[in-house]
Amino acid sequence: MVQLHFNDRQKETIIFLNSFDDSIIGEFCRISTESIHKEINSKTLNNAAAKLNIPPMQLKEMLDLIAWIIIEGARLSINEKELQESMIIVGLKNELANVIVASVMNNMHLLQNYMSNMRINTLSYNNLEWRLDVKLATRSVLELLEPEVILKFDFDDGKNKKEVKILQTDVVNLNNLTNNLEEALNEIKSNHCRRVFRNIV
Amino acid sequence: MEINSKSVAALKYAANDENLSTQSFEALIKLIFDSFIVDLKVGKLVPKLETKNLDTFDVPKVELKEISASFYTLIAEFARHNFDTVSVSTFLEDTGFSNEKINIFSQFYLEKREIIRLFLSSTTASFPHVVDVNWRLDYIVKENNLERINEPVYLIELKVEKSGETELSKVQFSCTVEQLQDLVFKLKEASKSVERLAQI
Repeated sequence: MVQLHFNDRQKETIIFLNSFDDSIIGEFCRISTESIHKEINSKTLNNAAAKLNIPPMQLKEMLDLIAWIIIEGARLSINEKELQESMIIVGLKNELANVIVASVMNNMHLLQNYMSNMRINTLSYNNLEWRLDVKLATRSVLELLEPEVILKFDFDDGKNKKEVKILQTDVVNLNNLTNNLEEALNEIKSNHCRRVFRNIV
Repeated sequence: MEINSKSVAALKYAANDENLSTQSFEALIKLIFDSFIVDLKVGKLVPKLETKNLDTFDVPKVELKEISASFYTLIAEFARHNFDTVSVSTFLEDTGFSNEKINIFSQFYLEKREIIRLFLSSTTASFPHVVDVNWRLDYIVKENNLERINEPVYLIELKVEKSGETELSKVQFSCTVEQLQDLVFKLKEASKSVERLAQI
């Protein structure tokens, strides 16, 4: 059961949100999502605060809180029910919670995309091309008849940098490599793995 | 097949039974051929000639060194061209070796020819050679930027031999289940075509 945990200051701000109606909250959500990409113009902030008759600092706190809810929600992959409950528990009105939940859900995918760019990236496999050669002679040894497989690996290191590695192998090692990797692939279907996947949620 | 004149001269010297008796010849040749041993730790050939054994011959040191060097050159050339015993005998005969010495040489040569060719081929330029693979299956639960990931991921490590280096190097990469399926499929294709080649 995932939940958003608000600290005391945030809880106070939530209570303050209750004094606005849902269309205004909707506006807040829209501005908050934009603020995630680009900082809010202080003039616009001051104007809006004046129109609503509240100090600009307070408006900023509310917008920051909503932005925080959107980001945390994406980070935790929270679902609608959990999000709704988290906000109601700290005292937010139902209709307002609905508006915020809708906004979070709309933006979740996009935000998670951004966050996945910050993940730890190891060199990852992209493609393999192979070629079968027969070695006929070298400078030191003539009259050879040795089969050889050239492997061209395409790797991607997650930061848009591609790496190409060219390796070779012989018949025996190729079979060993293939058999081992096939075994690895079959492990996913094992009972042990299935149990783990089912139970870690 | 070309052998430089200095080596030919040394070989002619060795062919002469008065300079190098048949027993000494046999002992020297055995020493030289036996020096192509396999270092079991690395699985590589390590030609080692124990020089202290050379002291037991009744041939002056300088000539002995020249003869040994010329034999190594000769053996390398024979192995390089994959000469059979007939060609070897013919060449040795032309250089003036007695039939006895020729027989002794041919016997050792036949025994060691493949090993010597193996040793010679280890000096060629090549791409890094895959010799082993290690794999690991992990399940990503969460990261500091994203929770509830729940994705299996494979970490593959290829052990690779580079020519001229004794230590094995590694090529490490990760892949998802689909990527590994793609990789295994392609490797199987390669294996099958090697099998078909063997049947031709």
